[in-house]
Amino acid sequence: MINIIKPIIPELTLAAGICLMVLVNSFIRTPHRSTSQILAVLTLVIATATAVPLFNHDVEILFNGQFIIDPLAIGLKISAYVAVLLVVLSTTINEKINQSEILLIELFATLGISIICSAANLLTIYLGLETLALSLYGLVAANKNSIESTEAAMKFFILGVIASAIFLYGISLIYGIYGTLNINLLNVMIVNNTLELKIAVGFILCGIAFKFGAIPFHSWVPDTYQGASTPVALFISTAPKIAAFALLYRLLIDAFISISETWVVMIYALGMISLIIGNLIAISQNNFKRLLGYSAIGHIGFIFLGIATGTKDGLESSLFYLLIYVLMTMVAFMVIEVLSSKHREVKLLKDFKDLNSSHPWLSLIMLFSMCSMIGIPPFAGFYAKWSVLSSLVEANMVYTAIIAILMTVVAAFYYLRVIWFIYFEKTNQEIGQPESTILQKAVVSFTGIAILLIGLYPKPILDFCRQIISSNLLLD
Amino acid sequence: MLALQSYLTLAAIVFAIGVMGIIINRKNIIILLMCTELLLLAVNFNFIAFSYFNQDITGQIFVFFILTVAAAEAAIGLAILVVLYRNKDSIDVQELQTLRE
Repeated sequence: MINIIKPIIPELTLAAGICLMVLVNSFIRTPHRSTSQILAVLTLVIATATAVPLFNHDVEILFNGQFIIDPLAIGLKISAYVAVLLVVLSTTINEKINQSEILLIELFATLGISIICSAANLLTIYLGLETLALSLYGLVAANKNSIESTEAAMKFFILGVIASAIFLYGISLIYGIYGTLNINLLNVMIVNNTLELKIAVGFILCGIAFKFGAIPFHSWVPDTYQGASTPVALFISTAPKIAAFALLYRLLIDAFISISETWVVMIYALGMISLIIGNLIAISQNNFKRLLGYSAIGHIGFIFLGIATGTKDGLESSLFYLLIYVLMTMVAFMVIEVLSSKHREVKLLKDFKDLNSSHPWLSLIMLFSMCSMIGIPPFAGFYAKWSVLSSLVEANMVYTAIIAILMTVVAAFYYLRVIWFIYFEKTNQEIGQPESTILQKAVVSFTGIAILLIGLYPKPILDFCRQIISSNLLLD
Repeated sequence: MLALQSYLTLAAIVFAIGVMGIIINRKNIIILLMCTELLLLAVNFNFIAFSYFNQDITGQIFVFFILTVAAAEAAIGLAILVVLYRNKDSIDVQELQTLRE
């Protein structure tokens, strides 16, 4: 009995924490709004602490092949928990939007993420995916008096349902072709590479691309980033991307590695289009959150190109890029969150004018994040870009690497524009004193400095990625 | 007894109707929600047909899960629709344009 329970303690902790939070939210009224934040933080800390010892656990398959414990699952879970923990710590507690509900739904989404990470069966993957997606629809609509956020939620909902239906259609074809839904069986079974199989994999890839927000399934990304309130955008831009990587790995690498020549082409095309179009559209944006949305699409392009190399190095560098990207975008959103107050939200690029004279430290953190996204050497983003590019060159995709570098130059333009606004534009409009707490400022400083530190010493994170990927790889 | 192909064709047609309904429809969000249900039902057809012809029960169990999730999805979709209507006084698809710049 204890052997069955031990590997799933992180999920059980999350579920228990969710139940407790529902109870607490319904019994305790307004006086202590931070109660739910404390509960959420406690739940996540315990979940992380119980997940860490499982990292070196033997590969184990539970519940009749529905659930798998391997380094990939545990590693991605730990990263997701830490990301959500930072998000929860930097969320402002105010009365305008009901923040305790946001934290609760974020925990639901985290549960979905950890189910996706550990799924070993297409049914479990689907259920995890829907747990995550349904929570995200609710989160985007949480600011229910704002036209922008409800409209973004509606668009996100419609597109999300279409994407998950297409994904399911792909799964149903896979079920028809293979006669099983178990990923480990899909992997060993030998079938002819027929047209039906290609269509099925293509449909499944549509679902994955939607989760990442790759072009042409991208249109929800800028809309939700712009429409959702900042803490929600902060959440959506970080943890679900880790889940999307888990989804991609489980399906494409674990299940369909034998037909890799089919999907490598598709991933390559998606990555290339996202990289080029995402960065080009981002140039013309004036809304900072929308700009971050398009820049996210560009970064996803990089991640897909790394996967399209089809080598172990490529996968490792993609995962590394993803983790660094999550960190960078988290810092950018955190700065907006800290600067925004109850009365006024920092949204447009021109709201950042002359930020340096009123908030020099936050400006410096923003500078770190932007420089890291461009890929300037001392920061973590440089190593992320470098590792993807070097794996592209090693896989004899030199021209792709050149295009990626050109697009980095294009991207530098709009990131530098943000820095220009912060340091060199003058304005009469004062950014008011934000109502953020010391805790929030500490978290922002911590993550901002982490970008610099990882840039100076990237080895631990690189080793972490290497351990996750190499331990169960069947490539080549 | 019909062949497997007939069921799959029916499912594909229903799925296509759902997709076309979403693309062509420019009037009402409720019709969009109905079309999304149609998509999921088409998938259910596929699963049941494969399950019967493969002599394997898994597909039918999957259908139950899809039905449950579809119900939850419809509930959330309608909830968002209600909130949207309160803010905009309209459920016209073409008026969803605040976010474009």
